[in-house]
Amino acid sequence: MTSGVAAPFVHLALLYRTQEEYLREVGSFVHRAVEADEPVLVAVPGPRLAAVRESLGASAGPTEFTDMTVLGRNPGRILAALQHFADQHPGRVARIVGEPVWPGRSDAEILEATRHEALVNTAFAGRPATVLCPYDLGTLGAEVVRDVGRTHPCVVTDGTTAASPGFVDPRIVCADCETPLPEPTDPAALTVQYAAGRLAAVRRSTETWARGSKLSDARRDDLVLAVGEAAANSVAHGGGSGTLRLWVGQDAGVVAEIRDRGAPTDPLAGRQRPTLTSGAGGRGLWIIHQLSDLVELRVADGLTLRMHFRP
Amino acid sequence: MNRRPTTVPVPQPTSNGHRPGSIVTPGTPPSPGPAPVTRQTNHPDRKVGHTLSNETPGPEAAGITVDTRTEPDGAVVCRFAGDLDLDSVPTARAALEEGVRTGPPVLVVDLEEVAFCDSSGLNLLIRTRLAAQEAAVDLRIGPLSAPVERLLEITGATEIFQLHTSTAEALAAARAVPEADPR
Repeated sequence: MTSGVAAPFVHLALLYRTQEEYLREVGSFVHRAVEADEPVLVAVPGPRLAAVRESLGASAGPTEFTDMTVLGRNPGRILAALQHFADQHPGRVARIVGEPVWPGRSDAEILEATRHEALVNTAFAGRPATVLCPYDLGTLGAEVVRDVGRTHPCVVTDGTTAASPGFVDPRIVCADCETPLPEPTDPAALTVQYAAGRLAAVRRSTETWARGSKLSDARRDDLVLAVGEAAANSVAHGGGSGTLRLWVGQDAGVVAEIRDRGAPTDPLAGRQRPTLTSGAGGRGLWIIHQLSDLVELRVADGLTLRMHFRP
Repeated sequence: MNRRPTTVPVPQPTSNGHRPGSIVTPGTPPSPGPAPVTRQTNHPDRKVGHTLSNETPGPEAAGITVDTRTEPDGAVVCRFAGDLDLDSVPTARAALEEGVRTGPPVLVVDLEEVAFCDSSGLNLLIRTRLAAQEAAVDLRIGPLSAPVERLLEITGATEIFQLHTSTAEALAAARAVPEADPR
């Protein structure tokens, strides 16, 4: 299952149909890494994770395992976690299994997972690493599978690796992900306009409003911090002012939307763990990604940033 | 203990004072204590905090208060209360820059009563850490409120600071470090 390409970074999609095939391919990937004494991370959804661990048993060696439904609940924070793993092993070839889509993911989440997969190519370009991304052909729609071919240079099917004819530049995929966000079906429960000097007022309004929602105390604090970061970004980088809207979304979750005149250009903004050796800033969006269950960012006639919080 | 009031009054009511794990910020400045004694004469105006938070007064302004005191051995403790955000960070920055500039052996930053802290607050702490390193000031942070701790954990910043659960512990830990040979 080698790509035959000399590039130091390899990004493979594994299109599987059965659990047996899944365990065989993932197991073989892990075994080869362990035998080569290369660091390996398996980040897949919980049920699959348990099956992989059981199947590997002691042969997993020092493999790190993590539940992707937790790590990657928000697809926008997967990239930083994968890079962090590679960063922890400088000078070595990082081997990563990352499964970002599973049954039950919403269309909005799948769109952001697709954007994430495109940006894996951008962020890991030139790094000695291999990322294998399993996708379940049995449960995922044809559109998802088509996008997998657009975001992965190589695809493994039935044990055979081949170049993906549909692979395109990550910038094209990201541009295609700039779909208009649907207006909330319920009228916005709260709208707040703000500028410098009003950040505390924005946070207080958010907190007060969210007390009537289903969010736990801890998640409400996270919401307030995320809104605070986003509103501060409006003041610092988004033209000095902005508008916050809050409403109840799917499954009693809370959606917080910030609109301002910003136009961030770096597609990796907020997806890379910020350095702690400089106090220059640039952490706001990254913090928002860590706190939110889903982040949707669109730039069209200003910036729209939606942050989703599940109850 | 010399107490140098650099406090900016916080209008009532403060925001987020009822957040779990945080302490309600007092609506009036802490008692100034004994008559202020300044160690240096080149900064007679201690009201460094009259910045953004006071330019936008109103019932919903929160802001930060800073209370700086000097221990008998020269250690400086900056105690913050209120919200640390982009609006209020100039007040906090002025206090911490002052704290480093005066060159104490130890600077303790007490954040126990900080009800909210965003990344501007974290940036300030990181810049203060760099400035303290350059000035050979032993920077200690603590205690932390729950919101500050959450922010430091999310960002991994707990690893780069010397954190303490009380100012007394911070001061004791700093004093336990052997001083450099003054020659």
